[in-house]
Amino acid sequence: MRLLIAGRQPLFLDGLEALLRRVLPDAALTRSADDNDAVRKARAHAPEVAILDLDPPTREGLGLVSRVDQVAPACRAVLFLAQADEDTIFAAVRLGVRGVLLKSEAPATIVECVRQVHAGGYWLQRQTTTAALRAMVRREAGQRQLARAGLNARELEITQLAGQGVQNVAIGARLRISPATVKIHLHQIYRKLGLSGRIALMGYAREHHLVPPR
Amino acid sequence: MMAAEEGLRVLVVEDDRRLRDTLVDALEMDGHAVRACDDGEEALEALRAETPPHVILLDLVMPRAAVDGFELIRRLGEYPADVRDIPLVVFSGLGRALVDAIEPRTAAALNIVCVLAKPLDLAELRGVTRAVGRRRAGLRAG
Repeated sequence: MRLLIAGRQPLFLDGLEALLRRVLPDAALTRSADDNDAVRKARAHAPEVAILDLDPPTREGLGLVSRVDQVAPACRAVLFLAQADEDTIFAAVRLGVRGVLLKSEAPATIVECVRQVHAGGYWLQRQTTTAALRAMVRREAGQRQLARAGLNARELEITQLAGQGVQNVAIGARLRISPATVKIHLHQIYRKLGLSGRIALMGYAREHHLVPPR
Repeated sequence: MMAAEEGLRVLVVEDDRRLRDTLVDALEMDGHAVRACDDGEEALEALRAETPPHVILLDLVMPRAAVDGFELIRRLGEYPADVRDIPLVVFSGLGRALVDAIEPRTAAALNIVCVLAKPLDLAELRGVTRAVGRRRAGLRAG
């Protein structure tokens, strides 16, 4: 098994390297302490699994996944995170990441994850992944129902803002239209959705997952 | 009865070339007319320019695609009803995490008729596609 481990925290890399060398003595392990070096080594060694410490999980850090994929297309990425939030997991899934490990995991779990990903499987934080995917799907479903009701792009924007309780003056300022125009749009929205007014719209937006949960 | 088994126009969106070719071969053997794309962007272009398909088979996770399956679903919402309301069969290697995430109500809103886990069971996929054809024939007969 060819492995690449990369991260910016030497102590963490030391521990991970020691663990992997002990449990997987036959693995060819390459180590890297910065992103550019990780990409170079991925190109040179064609690792089968890359374990990337992304703490904190920045956009740049997630970009490393794509960079490694470009130079080593057969490599499967596993991310190490301090905690798994829905946005990061969703972004990771879309990048084709195969495994997500938390820094709090037991060593045996880490090894099991590496073996499973190497064998072609996934090792994701199941609950968070499901929650992230569900949030995305619900949001799209809500948007689609609005489109079916015949709302245009401007009305969709206003529905989302008014649905969160934003007042007409603030909506107007944000969209660069007058509060009176906002009011006209709102009446069109109420008519198209069959709603009685603003309170009903806020309930509709919550029910259809058009606004972030409080 | 004949109408239930008539071939469909099927759009396959899958970035894995081998799997895509396998799907195309299997569906063509069943009498369907298959249009295959390796990216959601190409699929959107086909949906703009060509006769809309009866069903879209869509891989959700396509990391190298300019438009992946998630984004394609979002963009479909901007299309007229004849494209927006095309039934979708979605699949990914995410297994139960995806199946559990798509609830009946949201599936109905997005026209997702089936969620499949990779590795795909080809017989199941062909069965689902046939079921879309039967449903379509039933709707027309009704």
